[in-house]
Amino acid sequence: MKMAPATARRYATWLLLVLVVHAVAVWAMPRLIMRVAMSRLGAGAPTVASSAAAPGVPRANDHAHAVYPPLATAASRVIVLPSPDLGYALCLYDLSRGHVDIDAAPQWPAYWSVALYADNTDNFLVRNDRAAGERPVHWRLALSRATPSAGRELIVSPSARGLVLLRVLVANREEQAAAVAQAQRALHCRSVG
Amino acid sequence: MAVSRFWFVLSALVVGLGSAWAVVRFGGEQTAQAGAWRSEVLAGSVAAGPYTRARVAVGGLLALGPSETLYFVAEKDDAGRPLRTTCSYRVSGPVPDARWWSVTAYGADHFLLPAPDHRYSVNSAAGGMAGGEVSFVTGPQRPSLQDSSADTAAALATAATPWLPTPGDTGLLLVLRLYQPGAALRRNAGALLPLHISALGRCP
Repeated sequence: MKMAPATARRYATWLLLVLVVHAVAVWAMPRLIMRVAMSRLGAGAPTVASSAAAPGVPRANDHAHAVYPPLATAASRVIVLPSPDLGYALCLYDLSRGHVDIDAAPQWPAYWSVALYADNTDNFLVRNDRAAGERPVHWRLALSRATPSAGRELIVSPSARGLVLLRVLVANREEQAAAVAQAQRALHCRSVG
Repeated sequence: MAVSRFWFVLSALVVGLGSAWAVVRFGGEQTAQAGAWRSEVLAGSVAAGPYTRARVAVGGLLALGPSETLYFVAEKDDAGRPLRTTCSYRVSGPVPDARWWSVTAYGADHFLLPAPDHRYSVNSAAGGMAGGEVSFVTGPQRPSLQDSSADTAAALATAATPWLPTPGDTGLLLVLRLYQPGAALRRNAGALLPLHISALGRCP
């Protein structure tokens, strides 16, 4: 049994097309999901505007803004597997028009961390409360190592767009509600340049 | 000819997308198993390959890397039966080696269940340990000593056994998070001494 060359070529082309579709789908899936999640999370920006009157809270702008979502409940439907034990604060960043300065120093008695995510979902940096005791979170996030650091720790992001996520561990939701709100607001993101 | 080309491209699209979905749904490059618990070891890590990255994006977006947090998921009990919110389970075992741990109950849609008083999880900060062991009960109702089941009575033998409510009628997903895990677990997540999940009484 021998296959005609034209038929064999057709099968090979079909298989190649399947492999390309497969690879593109797997590659694109996290990026698309991240893009949708970032746009849905960014939709919380009015929270910043309404709380911007509080001292020390950055005002939203086109480049980066902080959002302080309430503690997760059964009604939280933006991100799958939300942790009910963590208070979150987040900034979306876009470095295509300049770098972003990030500061976080929550006065918090338990675990907290600040994590940076690239647009393909990779967590490319995280610093927790213990590590921040040695190296505080005063970051300048940029696309190039050549960016002037202005005395800050220069962090190079693998993608222009991404997300900064502050987590604070909440042992008791009811008792710590006010303290959590204050700790969330210890995340500051400002676009520069 | 045009019809044939249409089917040629459509079938390639269907098989390409279908295989991508299947591998993301059922595959993964590096998973560790500890009892009923499975972990995507490289979740969130920059070392994650394309399949792990896709799996995590679908099932647990914005995970932290493994040196900061390990995530274990259980969808079945120790006997291999799928977990249901309508059933009661005892979860018990050694306290995990981590700075902080929590077990959270989710529905089949991967979102929190509408639990009373925001009781979504049991964690090391809020209790859940008795005599150096993790021990708590999940189920639609708080188990009582009136329950005839000997299993339930045994689970309640330690009076302060916490209850993790699982309201509704859906598949149940338990997620164990270990924040800042010990060095041995960071090297090998499969070394986790697993929390046992055993059904209490009859499952309707």
